[in-house]
Amino acid sequence: MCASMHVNKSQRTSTHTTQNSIRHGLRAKIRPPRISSLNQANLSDSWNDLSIAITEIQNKNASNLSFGELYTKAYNMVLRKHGEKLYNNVKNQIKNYLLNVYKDIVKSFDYQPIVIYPLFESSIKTGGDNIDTEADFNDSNDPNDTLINISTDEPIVLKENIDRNIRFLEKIVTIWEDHIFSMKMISDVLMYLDRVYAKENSLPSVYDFGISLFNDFVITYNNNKIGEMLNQIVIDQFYLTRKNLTTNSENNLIKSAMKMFESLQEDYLTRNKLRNSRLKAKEGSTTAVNYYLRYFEPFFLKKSSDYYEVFAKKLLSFHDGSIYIESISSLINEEENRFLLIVPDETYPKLVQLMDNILINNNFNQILDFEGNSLNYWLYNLDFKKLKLTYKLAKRIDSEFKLLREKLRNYIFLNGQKLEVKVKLFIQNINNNNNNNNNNNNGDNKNNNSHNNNKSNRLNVKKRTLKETQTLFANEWIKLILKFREKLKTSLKTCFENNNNFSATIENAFSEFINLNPKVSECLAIYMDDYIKKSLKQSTSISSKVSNNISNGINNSAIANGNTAISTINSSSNNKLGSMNDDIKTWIEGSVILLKFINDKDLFEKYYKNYLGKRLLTSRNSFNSVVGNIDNNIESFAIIKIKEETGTSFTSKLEGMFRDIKKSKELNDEFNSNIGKDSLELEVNILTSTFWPQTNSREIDSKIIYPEFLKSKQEEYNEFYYKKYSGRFLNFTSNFGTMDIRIQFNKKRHEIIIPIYGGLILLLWSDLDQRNLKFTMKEIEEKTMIPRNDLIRHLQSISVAPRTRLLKKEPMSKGINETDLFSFNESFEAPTFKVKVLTISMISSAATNAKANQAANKKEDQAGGKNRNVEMDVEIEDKKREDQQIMRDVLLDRKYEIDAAIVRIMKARKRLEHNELMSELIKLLIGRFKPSPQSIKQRIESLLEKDYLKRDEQNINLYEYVA
Amino acid sequence: DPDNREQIGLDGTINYIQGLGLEPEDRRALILAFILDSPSMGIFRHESFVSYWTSQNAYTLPDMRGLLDRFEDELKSETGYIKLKQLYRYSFGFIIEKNQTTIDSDIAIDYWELLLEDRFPEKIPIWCEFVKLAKKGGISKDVWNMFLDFLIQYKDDNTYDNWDPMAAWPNIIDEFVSYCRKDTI
Repeated sequence: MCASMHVNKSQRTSTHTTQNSIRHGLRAKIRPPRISSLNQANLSDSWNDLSIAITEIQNKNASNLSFGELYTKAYNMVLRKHGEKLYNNVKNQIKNYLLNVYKDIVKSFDYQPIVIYPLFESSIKTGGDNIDTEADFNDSNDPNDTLINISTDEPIVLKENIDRNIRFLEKIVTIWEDHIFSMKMISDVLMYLDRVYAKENSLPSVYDFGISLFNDFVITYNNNKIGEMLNQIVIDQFYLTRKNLTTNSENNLIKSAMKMFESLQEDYLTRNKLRNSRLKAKEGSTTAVNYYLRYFEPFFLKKSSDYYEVFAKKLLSFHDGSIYIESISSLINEEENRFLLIVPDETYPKLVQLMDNILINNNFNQILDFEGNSLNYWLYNLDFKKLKLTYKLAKRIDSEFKLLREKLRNYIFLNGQKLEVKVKLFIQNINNNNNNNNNNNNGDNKNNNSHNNNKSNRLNVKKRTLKETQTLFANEWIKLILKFREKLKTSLKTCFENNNNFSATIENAFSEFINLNPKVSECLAIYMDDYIKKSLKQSTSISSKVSNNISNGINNSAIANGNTAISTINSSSNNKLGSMNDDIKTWIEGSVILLKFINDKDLFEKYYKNYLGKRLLTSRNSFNSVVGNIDNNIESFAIIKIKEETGTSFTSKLEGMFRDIKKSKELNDEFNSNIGKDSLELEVNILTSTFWPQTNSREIDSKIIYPEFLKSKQEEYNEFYYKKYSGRFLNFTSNFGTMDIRIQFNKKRHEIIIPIYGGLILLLWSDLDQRNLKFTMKEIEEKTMIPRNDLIRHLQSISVAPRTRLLKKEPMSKGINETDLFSFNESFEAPTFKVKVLTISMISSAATNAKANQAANKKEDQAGGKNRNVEMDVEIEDKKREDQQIMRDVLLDRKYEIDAAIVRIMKARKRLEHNELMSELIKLLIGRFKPSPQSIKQRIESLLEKDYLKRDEQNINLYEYVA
Repeated sequence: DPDNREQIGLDGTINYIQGLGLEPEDRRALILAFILDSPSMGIFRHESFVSYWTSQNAYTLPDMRGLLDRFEDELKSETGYIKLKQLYRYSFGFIIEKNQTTIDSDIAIDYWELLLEDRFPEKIPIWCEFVKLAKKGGISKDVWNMFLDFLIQYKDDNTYDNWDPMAAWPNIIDEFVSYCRKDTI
């Protein structure tokens, strides 16, 4: 027998190679058959010889056999048309042999379970704390641990049966391998039978039926008796493997067993039929169902599924997201490694899918919703490890992450809303603390964090006004929102692979909760205003301004004192206030990003413009901040960033405001250094009326009476300006600018920085001779023509306010009446040379006056608190009015914008269906605001009415543009 | 008309209508205005007056009255939406005062009752009540026109279950629908 037959003991696939080498090696020995000599008797002898040889081969006694002889015998039988007989004889003999094998096996062994799987019972030990249970849980990963785990919910492993089963499994595998080996030899001997008879009759080769017979008469014989035992043993072993209780060689054994299952083909007759029907006519096509697919795999999947179910249920009982995801992650990881090692390729994806489905998909929703240690907690605490795990798990079940994104959205939406509540509580807290601090020297603030305390101490020397509260709210709220966003962005980057879907989810959720509060636009504007103001506020230089209409403004300076000296002042300081460092840049960029989430961007623009206007006109640094180079200038940098976020049309007015201020500065320099060169310096801000929110009534302005020297100065400026720009009209607005006036008092000279109205009042006493004159309020009103409200306010500032009592008032009360007498206070004193007169706000002025007049009849000064309330009410009322006005303006602007957009679209499209028009419009306008369908319809109706559009006669949903 | 020979003035119109045996408040008076293409209330142009009646071979008052009655009957018939629509749409221009774009809602209500109530006996009273309550100043041409389309389309539907506020109906009709829905609940 040729040595080469030992090659590739069990691998059927290599049969062909083996045959080749046999043929090759033996070619010389094979003599051409002698056709003549064989007769009937020889034939049955031949079979006897072959039959004996087969038995010898099966008994591993092949070494005595002569391959050549046997081959020749088989060859002759086939040649003499006895192929069929030979084929059937061989088959019968092998079948009988295998039946005996079966009997032997069954006699010697009976399956004993090694793992007893209990029915799962929920058995959370409610007493145990998490750490213990977790540790307990990890036990199974430690192979040194007890083999037999008798906790109620763990299957019981019967160690004593393991070896027995293993030995049995080994035995079957060995029998199988031996059988394969003999079949190979037999089929080599009967090669001619295969090649001629089997092929011609489309029958399975000898080797193939050898395998089928093993399947039919050993493994699956008698209702799959042995097969079931094998299945059970392999599954048990696999369970032990899962528990890390097996050795490598045992694992290899399982693997071999599975290989065997795979090799075991179905009953050859079934296959035969298939072949005959020519469905799978190709030689060697092995797609027929094998034992593995038919019996083992379903069982295996079922058992695995049970295993995962129990695993998941047990984990769920902890009600702890961390435990769950960490445990299943490591399980999945281990399982996948196991699968790679042991499980056939085709089962791998099935198991993975099964696992993902049971462990992740079925429970994910529940897990992520756990209170306490779960998604929300991880997001809140930036638990990157858990978030990453969650993401990875989610990815396994859905590449679009629908569930996880939904959860994320909910988290952001809910917690985003909470931020507002938090800020309100925080503010309330400060107020309470403040009261406490007032009551008990050092109220115990144990519950409040130091942040609170610092804040409260700093902010709460006095009760805040509404505006301050509002600013505080805006600052804190916006800060929290930005912080919240920052956190989520970090999570996105670190844990969610910057996935685009997630990033969109986050942004949408932000937009959702932010816009719940209609004040968000205003808050952002306040927030930015506050910050920019603080950054700019560092120096004291003096400037002033006035404005209106196509422009204009006077301002500044002048007057008088002791000896009619008119001196002046004022020059803008040179310090680089507008310059920025990177912090500021980052800050601005960070804030402007919020704009992206705001629906009512136009409302933001409105507020921002208001604040910007105030900043530009009142900040002494405005010139610097505008003149500085672009990169280095806070205001323009902010505008650039806003532009990037919203587009050009949005910021054109804001930019126009800058240009105005810049141009004004140039004009002032020119004017003051040439024409207006005298001791009185005039600085004018020329404001294009359409850009600026600040407006004034031209009627009032034209009535205001200026002293001669100021008037002539104004006219000089007018002349100067009209020469440069004919066709424009200047209107001096008197209620915005300031004057710097030097006055000699009894003790000292002071420079008084005062709003124009106040200055005009003071200038009534500019003549030294008239210093001791007294005027009634009514007289002052007539002499200056300042509107009554403003007059009262400014009189209060300079006669009632304790630090700036430049005028004496009779009687000395807080309220101002028509008949009150005012005179110059020569004995005015102040600690500094420069004295700034702060104008009492319109609100508190009105309140004080109202209260004072009210109280005048009764007792003076009853309780400051009450006064405060009146003031507060007035302030709130005032704020409400202002907001309503802004809202009205915005709504009006929107009307125009919608109209313009409709006309633009319809002009381009001529005819458009209602719905299309709606969506086009929303697309076009979303950068500014989100128009409601009602408002759009209203505009459409109005355009229909004005005959810009008409409806189609037939289709009422179709609009047509009317040129 | 003594001032203008091309047209019949207000007094003449009233006389004429009475001659036909009708009150000025009768719908047939409006039909008359429609078929004779009267440019505004109380005025008939000579030319269209003559040409129309000539084309209809109607030279006597009874002839004319007969035509009006037939038109009136057509409006009442189940299929007469086309005529109704023509008359209805014409009415807006007829009612509206010079240099206005809308008609006063009180006047509009009178005409809705006159023109439509017999065909839409359920909806018109509710609608008129709604318009009064809502205090909408004027009724624009679009609202006027769309309203009849709405009535026809939702003739038998008083619950408006499938109402789509995003559709092209004017706002006032949206509001009317939500008013009705609240009412029905």
